[in-house]
Amino acid sequence: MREKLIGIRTTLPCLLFLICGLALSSGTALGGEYVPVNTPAVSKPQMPKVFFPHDKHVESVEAMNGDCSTCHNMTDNGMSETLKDVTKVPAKKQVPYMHATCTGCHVKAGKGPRLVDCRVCHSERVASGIADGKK
Amino acid sequence: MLDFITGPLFLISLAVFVVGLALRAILYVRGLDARLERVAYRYHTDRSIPGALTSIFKWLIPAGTSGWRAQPVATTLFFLLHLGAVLVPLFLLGHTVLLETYVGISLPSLPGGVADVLAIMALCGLLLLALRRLSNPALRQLNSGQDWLILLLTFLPFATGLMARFDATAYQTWMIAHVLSGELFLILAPFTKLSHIILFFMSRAQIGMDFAIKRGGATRGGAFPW
Repeated sequence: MREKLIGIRTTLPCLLFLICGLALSSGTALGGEYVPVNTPAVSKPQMPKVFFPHDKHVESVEAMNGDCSTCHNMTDNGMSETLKDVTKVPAKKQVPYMHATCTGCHVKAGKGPRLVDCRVCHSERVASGIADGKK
Repeated sequence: MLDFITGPLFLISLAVFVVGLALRAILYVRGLDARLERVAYRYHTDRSIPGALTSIFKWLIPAGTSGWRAQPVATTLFFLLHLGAVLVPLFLLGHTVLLETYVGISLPSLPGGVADVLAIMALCGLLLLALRRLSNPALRQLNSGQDWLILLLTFLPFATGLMARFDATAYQTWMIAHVLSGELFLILAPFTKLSHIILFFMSRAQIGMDFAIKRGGATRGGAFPW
């Protein structure tokens, strides 16, 4: 009985320390380069909002001899912030369009999450980390 | 490799699953034979069709038959496993997105929390059924390698899927394991006892039909109650 108590007394602080450490490290690892995907606007989200590393995408697109127009349309008001052509698709088809376009390019590029990797883009950790950062 | 596993191999395994199970159903009907005491009837459809449907329906609800009522623990565990095993593969949000993209079939999806609970319940049911098989001497005798194989084939997609869900640190590794084990399930289903996915309905219909027409069914009207 006594041994058991000592076990809890030593493991509990260790666990707490570990959890605090993990929470701190995940907060700092995020950095500021994540950009939210706001189009399409999802009224009743069933998955965590997507935030993606824009700078990394710029590097990859440039490495494949692409430029801004690979992903964005030029409009009268300058470069559109949304993904190319997404607003031309009917509202109901916009989420499937994003899924297909994002993961289609990842397949072509041979890197980045595929369609089965739901929670790499829909990451609770990234989404809540950014929400916490804004507070 | 990754793109093959998550693309063409998924479609191949889905095709093997659907075509294979359809063939098992056809082979079942062609294998009907009076010498096996396994017959279906073209006549007396007024009794045979309600009989077939009642037998299927009653075995689909807990305590719907005396067979279920006689073994409450086994029944509970069975439904714990099968509720999740039927609903989660078909209606989990991620699965419906994949089905819509690859096959063009769009299904409604379960709320995330419900799917999590169903999957955990299914895994608990599965593990407890395994314990039951080990602890009961009669079941230890009855269970062969095939019976353990299909339990393992079902365990793997659920365990890896839940690990992917709740262990974000190795998400993509768990996901590859999940996709592969799911495809293994789909490919092997027609060739193992997992074929009960379709054959359950076939043999319930046959027995319901048979019992509603003869074996006392004729004196009790259609839908003989077992």
